[in-house]
Amino acid sequence: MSERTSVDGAEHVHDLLSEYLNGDLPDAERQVIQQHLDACARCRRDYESLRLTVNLLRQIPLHAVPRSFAIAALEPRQSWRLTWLRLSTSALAAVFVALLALRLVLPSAIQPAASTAATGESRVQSQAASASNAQPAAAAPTAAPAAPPMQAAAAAAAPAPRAAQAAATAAPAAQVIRSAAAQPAPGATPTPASGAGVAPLAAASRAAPPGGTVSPPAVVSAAQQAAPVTAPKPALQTDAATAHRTAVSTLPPSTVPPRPATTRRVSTRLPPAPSAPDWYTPLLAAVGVLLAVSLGALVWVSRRR
Amino acid sequence: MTSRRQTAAAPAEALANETERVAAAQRGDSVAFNQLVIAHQELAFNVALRLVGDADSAADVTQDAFLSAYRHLDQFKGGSFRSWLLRIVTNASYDVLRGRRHKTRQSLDEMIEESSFDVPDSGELPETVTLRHEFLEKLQVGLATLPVDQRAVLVLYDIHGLSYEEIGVALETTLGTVKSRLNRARSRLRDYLMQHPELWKP
Repeated sequence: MSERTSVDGAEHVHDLLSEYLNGDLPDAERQVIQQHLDACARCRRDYESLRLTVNLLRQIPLHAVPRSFAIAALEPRQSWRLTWLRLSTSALAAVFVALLALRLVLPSAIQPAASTAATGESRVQSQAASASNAQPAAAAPTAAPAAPPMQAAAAAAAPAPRAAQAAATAAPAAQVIRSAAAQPAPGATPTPASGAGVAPLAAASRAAPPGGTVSPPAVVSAAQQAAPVTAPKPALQTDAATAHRTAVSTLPPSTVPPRPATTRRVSTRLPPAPSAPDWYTPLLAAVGVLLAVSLGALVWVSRRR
Repeated sequence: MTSRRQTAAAPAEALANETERVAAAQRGDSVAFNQLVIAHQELAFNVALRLVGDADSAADVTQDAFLSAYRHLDQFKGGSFRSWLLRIVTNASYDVLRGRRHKTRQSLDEMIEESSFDVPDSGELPETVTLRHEFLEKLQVGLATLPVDQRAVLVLYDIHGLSYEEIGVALETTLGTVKSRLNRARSRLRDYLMQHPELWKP
């Protein structure tokens, strides 16, 4: 190295001037160049012009950025997922809040709904009872197996939409409530099932006195026959109902002319059930669980991004 | 004038911060990526500007580079994110220059007219501003006379104060090559400036 940077090797010094200028040469080389520059005017000029050049470059100001280069609307793959999650989460939250509001702010709105649901059910049962007290009790067991499940489900679901319509004073939530309320009804719900054995009895006995055509023991036997069948399977409760509906239709109209009308009127005047509507708690729980899942997914997705 | 040398020595915590941001961006965090964009867009744009010569092309290059960086973020395997980003910027700039070679009349004159040196409003005397404006334009023309690989080293080292190592990564070459290109680029620009003595006293 030292040979290269000796006084006679001006060209080599020239090659190292740039690094010398940067100050990143080892001390030994730097001293050699320093001595050479002191001695050689040509190399000194070279060095000086290089230094000025670099100084000029360092004075170039930074140009202001004409705009932000931040990237907008990234990743369409995930954004639709996120959009859907956001939509569903807010929809579920709205339903959840609406349900709570219904319970807390408007208890009056929910109570009539509850009574309608209850009376709707008891009406079906009282209808059954009224039919069975006109027709021989044997008609119910024979017709029951024939009842199509779809019809049974529809019959069980029937009270629920009405309750939902009555309850759904909050417009946006109405549709969700209705469809959700229809769901739990067919599966129907431990509560009606367990009560089914008792309800027909009461309904039958209530319907019996105005009828008066059949003696009390007959009514009891009809109810008793209905009760054991209904108790094990919830669906049978409605089977009995459809069975009796068919029984009613096969009846000669003259036999029991005003009966269905009167029972219906009587049943709607039944006192409201004291408990909250059956669909309310499961629905609230279902919406709550869905909301939690949706929220969790939303948090997970946004954290991954 | 602001010293761009300060960008050379990044504090350790800022680096750690950047590593975290890069990791987050690699996981798909676009907010973290945009923080990286904001941190580096001035450097990226100015490097592109000195390489391609005009602000419009430089803006296009910068935008393309950041998009490309985002798409290929998984290919970043650590090290200096700035160097990795500048590799994309210089390659994108080279592409623009290559495309330009065919259209020869996108010439130096045009580049001068487009004036890549917008002097910031600093309350200086108008004559001073005009003088500096002219000076910078001519300096840019001088830069444009350099071969592009030499120009890139000169821009990164002398204008933006990157280290040899960072430049080596950005330009995918060895430290020896970086040093020799810098040496030749400086000499060449010096020769250009010697022919334009008015530039020596900005």
